Amino acid sequence: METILSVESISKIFGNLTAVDQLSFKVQKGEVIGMLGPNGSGKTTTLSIILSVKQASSGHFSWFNGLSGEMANRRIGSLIEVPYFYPYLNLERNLAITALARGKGENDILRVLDEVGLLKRSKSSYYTLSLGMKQRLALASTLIGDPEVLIFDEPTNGLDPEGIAEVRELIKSQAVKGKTIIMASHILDEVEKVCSSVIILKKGKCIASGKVSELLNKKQIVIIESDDSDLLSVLINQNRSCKVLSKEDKQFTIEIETDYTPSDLNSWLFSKGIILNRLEPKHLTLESQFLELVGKTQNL
Amino acid sequence: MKNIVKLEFIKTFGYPGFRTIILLHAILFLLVVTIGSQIHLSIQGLRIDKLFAFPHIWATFSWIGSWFNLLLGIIVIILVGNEHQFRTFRKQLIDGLSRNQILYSKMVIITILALYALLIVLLTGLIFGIIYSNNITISSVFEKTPYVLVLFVQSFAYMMLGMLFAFIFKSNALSIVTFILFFFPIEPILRVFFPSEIDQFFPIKIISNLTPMPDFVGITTSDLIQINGSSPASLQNMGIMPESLSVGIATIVCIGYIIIFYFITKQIVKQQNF
Repeated sequence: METILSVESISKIFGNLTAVDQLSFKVQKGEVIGMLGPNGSGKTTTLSIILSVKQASSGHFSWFNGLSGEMANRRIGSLIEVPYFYPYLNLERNLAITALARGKGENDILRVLDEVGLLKRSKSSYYTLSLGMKQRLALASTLIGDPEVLIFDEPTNGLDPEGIAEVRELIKSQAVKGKTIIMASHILDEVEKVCSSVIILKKGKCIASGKVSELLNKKQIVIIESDDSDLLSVLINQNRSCKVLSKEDKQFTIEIETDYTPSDLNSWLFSKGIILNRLEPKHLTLESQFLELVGKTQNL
Repeated sequence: MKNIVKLEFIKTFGYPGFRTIILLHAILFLLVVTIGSQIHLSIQGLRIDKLFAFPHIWATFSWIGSWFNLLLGIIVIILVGNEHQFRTFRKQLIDGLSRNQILYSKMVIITILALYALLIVLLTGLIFGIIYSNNITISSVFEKTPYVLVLFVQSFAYMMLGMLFAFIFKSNALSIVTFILFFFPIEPILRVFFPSEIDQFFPIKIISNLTPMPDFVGITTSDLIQINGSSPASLQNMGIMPESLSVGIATIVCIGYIIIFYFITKQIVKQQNF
């Protein structure tokens, strides 16, 4: 698989603060990668460095096998933090500046405005737009010239639920087209729904990375319940593939190993004389995984 | 390069503040030269209108034009400061401009504004010269036109210095205040501590002296001197205006300063986190 971005040991130090600490990762062509982390974890700084807006204190990165700076950026559509446009210019003029900076013609402007639902406002001044519309315009500017890579930093900021769903669909539609997408967000549900892989940052360090499915399948949680809760408790504690997480009345929440299915558990308990009234797999979310990972690394 | 010029035109000429200040600049210049040309002193032998006739008009208009160069410097500060305020430099870097292109795009505007300063003086000078000259000859029209080219260099230098301050301070207010204070009193105070041989090479002094005040006395009394046969009067002979570097040397030194301003700004842009 073709590597689109290679980041090797980049660090960024502001005075006494290490915003990014020896961060390394690779992004493959066609991958939709989410960058997760609490506020101040270094997501935006990392994106700013790989877009050459900020200079790394150490380490290096390269796009498309050896490019960086403006040559790489012309092939990337990016939305970092909040939209930055000229308030006194209309939408078309603002996008014309983006198109010219990217070395593209101005004939793509109306298409992208239509794609984000702002075609009717093309002659309006930027300052007359609502926050959500400004965010849509920023998304439109990333699509100018049909770039190979898209980078979004909190793309749903300021959008209403309908707008969030539209942006999600927009990102998914770009992913279907084979675009490589890097999306930083602290809205985990958003990342889970859109991204195939994630990098989890905390205090500038990568604390976990990999496919979303792999992260979520690292363990299974099931809720079980039986009338004979005393025997059930004894049996579960005997089973090395199970670990009790919590107990409430007759209900147990247990974690089972990945090679052991809920069905295996049910068969084993039945063979020991337990009939379960309830066997409910609990689906893990990225949010719960993220919170656990971040919690585990409190001492970082 | 074509793209840079085009995008710079969109954002600069689309900015209402820019259009207003340029309009103000043109109106103020036209107002001053029109009022100046209407002043008549009834002193025998004194011909104020000679200041507005060829060839002296180029020195007069270049000098008056230089009064408004500060305004051009302030326009450039506002244009660069706005980019910092709107964080549009950052966006353009992300969109694919290089740091050098960011700098060149602003230098395109500086060149256009310096050309505008030159053209407004050239065109009004031609019109007023034709109106106020009795005997128009080709040589009288072109004799002192280099003054207008010097005005181009001077306004370019003002704007390059303005741009340097805007990239250093990023804020419009701070840059404008520092820019004005640098002209007065910061540099004049600094010059006090240096002997006159060094003092005359300070940047503001060099830039300001490119378009010296015309020798009003010498020009307006030249007819009287010719009649009386006395030695020519001048502000310098009378000790009113001090001797300074020749315009040629001052222009070369000024171009040197423009190059220095350019390289300092380039270093700042190269290292700045946008």
